[in-house]
Amino acid sequence: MATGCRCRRRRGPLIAAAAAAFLGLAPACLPADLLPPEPPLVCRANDDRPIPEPQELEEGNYIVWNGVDAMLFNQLEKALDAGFLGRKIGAWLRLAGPKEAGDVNAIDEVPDSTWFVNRHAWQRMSLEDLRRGPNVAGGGPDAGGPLTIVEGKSGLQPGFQVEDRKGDRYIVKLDPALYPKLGTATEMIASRFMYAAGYHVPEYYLIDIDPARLAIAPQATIRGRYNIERLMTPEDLREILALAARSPEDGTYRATASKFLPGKPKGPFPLVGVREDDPNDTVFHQDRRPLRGLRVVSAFLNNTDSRRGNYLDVYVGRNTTGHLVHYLLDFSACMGSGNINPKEPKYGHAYLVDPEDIVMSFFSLGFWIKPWERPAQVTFASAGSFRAEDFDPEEWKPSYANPMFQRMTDRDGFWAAVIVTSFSDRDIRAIVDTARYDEPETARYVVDVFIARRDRIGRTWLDASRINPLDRFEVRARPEGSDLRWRDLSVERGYNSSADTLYRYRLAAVIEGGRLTRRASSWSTSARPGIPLSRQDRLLHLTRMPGATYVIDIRTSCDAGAHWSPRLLVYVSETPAGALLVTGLRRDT
Amino acid sequence: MRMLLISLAAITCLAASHPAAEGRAETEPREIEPEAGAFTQAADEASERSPFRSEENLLRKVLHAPSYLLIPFKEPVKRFLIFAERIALVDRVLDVLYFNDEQTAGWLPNASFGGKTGFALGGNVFHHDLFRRGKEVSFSFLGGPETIEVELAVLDPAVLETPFVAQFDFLYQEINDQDVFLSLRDGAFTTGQGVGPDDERNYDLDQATGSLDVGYRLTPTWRLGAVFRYAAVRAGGSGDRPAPRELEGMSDDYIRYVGTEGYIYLDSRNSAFRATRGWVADLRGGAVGNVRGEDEAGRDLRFFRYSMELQRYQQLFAFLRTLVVRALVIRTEPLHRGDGVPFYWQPALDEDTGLRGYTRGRFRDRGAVLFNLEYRYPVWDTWEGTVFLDEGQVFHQYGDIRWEAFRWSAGVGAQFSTRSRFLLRTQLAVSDEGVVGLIKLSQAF
Repeated sequence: MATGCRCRRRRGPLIAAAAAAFLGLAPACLPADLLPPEPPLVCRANDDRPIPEPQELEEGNYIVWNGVDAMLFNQLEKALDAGFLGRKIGAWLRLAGPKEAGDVNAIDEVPDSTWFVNRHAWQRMSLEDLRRGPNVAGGGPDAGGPLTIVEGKSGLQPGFQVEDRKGDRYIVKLDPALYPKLGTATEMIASRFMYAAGYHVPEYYLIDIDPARLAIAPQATIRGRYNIERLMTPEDLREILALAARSPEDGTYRATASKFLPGKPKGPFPLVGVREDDPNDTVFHQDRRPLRGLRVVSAFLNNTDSRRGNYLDVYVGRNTTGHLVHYLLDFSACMGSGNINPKEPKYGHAYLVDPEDIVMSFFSLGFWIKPWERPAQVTFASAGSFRAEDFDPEEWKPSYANPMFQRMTDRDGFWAAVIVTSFSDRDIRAIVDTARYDEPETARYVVDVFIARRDRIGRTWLDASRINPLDRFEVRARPEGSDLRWRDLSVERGYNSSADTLYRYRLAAVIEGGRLTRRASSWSTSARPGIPLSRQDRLLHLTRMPGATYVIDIRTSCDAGAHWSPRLLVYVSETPAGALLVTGLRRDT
Repeated sequence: MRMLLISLAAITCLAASHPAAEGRAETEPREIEPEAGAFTQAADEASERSPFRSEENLLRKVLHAPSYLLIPFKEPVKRFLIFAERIALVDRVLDVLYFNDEQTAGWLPNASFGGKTGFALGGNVFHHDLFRRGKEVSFSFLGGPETIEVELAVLDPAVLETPFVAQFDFLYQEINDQDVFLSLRDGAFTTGQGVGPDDERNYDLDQATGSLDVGYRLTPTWRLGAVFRYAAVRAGGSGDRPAPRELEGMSDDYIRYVGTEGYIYLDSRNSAFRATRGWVADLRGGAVGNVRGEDEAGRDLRFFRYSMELQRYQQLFAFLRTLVVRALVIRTEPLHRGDGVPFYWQPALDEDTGLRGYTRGRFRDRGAVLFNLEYRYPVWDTWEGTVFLDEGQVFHQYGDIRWEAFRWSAGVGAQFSTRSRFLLRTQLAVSDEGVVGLIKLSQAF
């Protein structure tokens, strides 16, 4: 289980400290690399303040333009951006770190916002909650009465939009004829994982449709040849159903019904920059950790279709009192599904058109054998080509280049890996249950693949040679004093052995009034995930001073001290009342 | 200051709820439930707006400035692509190019930069599955400053559902200012291996040829057949350095030829378009003779022609990494003493016929021997890269073949093909006479 530990030293902090001191940014005598984290310690982003109703951004709905923008113009912009290049070169020379996320708080976590809500990783959801996901009790299309088709559906998967007897509107997606359950199972599972991870997703219900219940509304439209909208006919419906898998037992069609989101759709949010018409949108999207970290969650789910057209802003509220909520949509191309076929092996490994791979492939003269140069391997038809054997979390790619994903840092990856690895085997089984596979072997296979992918992600992003995998720091009071405790996620998740794990720590500084009043103490070592912070503690030499902040430097070794992780600084502050609390974390990578 | 206030307020708020702060109120150790945390439940009402904000300072904006150069390109591209998607432009174009949903019939552009025809543009109308029985017909046109070429080809792979294969070709060609390389030997201009790169002369060629190839499929891989040809050809000097009138085959009037040849052909490749293993062997021989007209020197143009070609496709260390080895010998021989072999039908070695580092028509003589070694590898879904080495020489008699007379060329290429056999081929070859490039857009028949 243990992963190899290698120390990756960076001179960045030293240079940053020197630069900061030179520019007069640091308080007197306080090295910049010991400065407390700048962001406030908030747990809600307050980005749901009332705003005027924004315009709908239509350009995100055009897949070709989005692909060209992300894969051509965005890459060219980066190449022409001297600041970006300078930082890249600096990072390559280890003179500077990458640009970190701009929406994290002092303890390097993402506050709840209209983009993300801390769910399963912070507050374990019950198995029932995991299964329910974004759905509401008693929700879903009305079980009786007609389902009136009100509009066709774009995309590869056969389907349409329906209204039930209650007047609720759903997008209905059917399974491809040759691969029953492929798309619907994928969508059910992926939507639940996405929701539990913390993202906003629509409600998805698994239903069986009796074709006799389907009626076409007189004004129902469909986009026909050349994308021209026209009235839908019974022949259109017959053609749609002919593409779909039908139950041989009762003649029904298995489908997912995705409920229309409450509010007014305002188009897919841009992948770079902010929405100019949303005053709540103050952080560049490419710098938002939930969006950067979505790469890891998408890699786990093999959500290769994670592109702009599958994101949506929705204005909730009325007139000037509403705000935007940001959703992820359409999970039918996750896992082993390529919508109507098993996913081609290329996807997950390379972009649709991948200039870097093409150039490398051409100049390698064929000696580089691309990992996807093999026929799609389908073990179970309804699971498609979902695999873990060739899954490399670091190299995983969506079908279209995504600037948000490309800016993901090790800290973002760690954050997302904490979420992905928070799904226990039992949790995964519960979520996979919602797909209602016919054969238990299929479900078992899918669960096994998810477990293997989760663990590969854990071993990659919780690797102590990359980042110190300690998290969830807390100060605990004991009669004889307080302890600083933490959780070693790489040990907890089973990626490292507790027997080989050691922690090295020291008091790096004491800050009072923005000034350094005490310099680093000598190192101490502990085998347990915690250290005492008591007045009498000789290890920390901590003499408590009200209002002071103690900077504790902790390193982790997963090979009994042979190698140590990058630095993790924990800021423990003393309130005027004399209580100690963790007020900041600074992770080096 | 504002941030400091926010932070203090948050600290106060979290002191009551954050797991990190539990030391304040508790005096007894208390077990925390795994994963339980009040982090998400803590409220922070201290700030009106989000405390997070991305800002670009002036320096950052200045460094970012070069990327604004893209704006004039980006906006029109965006508008066009959105417009194109909105009106389904690709579907409309495909509907114009293809006559059926299966895309087995339609028309596609042809283009050539380099090669036999020099720069030329044109089109190709085709049907690859006539009557849904795999019969093919193709009509193509290619025109440029030096070339007009019209070709009609019809292929029936199973005549009346029998093992007989029939292919009919008609080609009309006008080629102007072509190069033929000649040297003066014994007072007469001749082609051959000794000509230099500066020894070019120019000529015009007009020809119309029709051929009927009737084959019999002995097995799925072996075919035996015969080809019957009729041709009318006129060749004359042109340009500043016209080819001499005494050259074999030169004539102001059309010379009519008939010819026939028999062949035996093997094709055991596993795929015609991206073969990774198998053999191609082609052994053929026959005769051609003028039936009306003679050249300027009053010669009859009657000759034997035979050739042997062998190709081997061998997959190497991984799928689609293929080594292709080809050996070819072609020989023409006058039928009677005093007869000639028209220079334009002499075996030639150049960029278009396998010695890819040499310009058009660079070497020609009574015979040619050629070896090609080509390594093909996949670049992308339907893109293929090639690295090749060619060795060859022309000769007047077999006794002229010498080791040191072999000319070599080497190069790289890329080929892109689509489902409907649309082909884009590029190659760059070097030889001791320089670099020769070729770009060709065509459709495989």
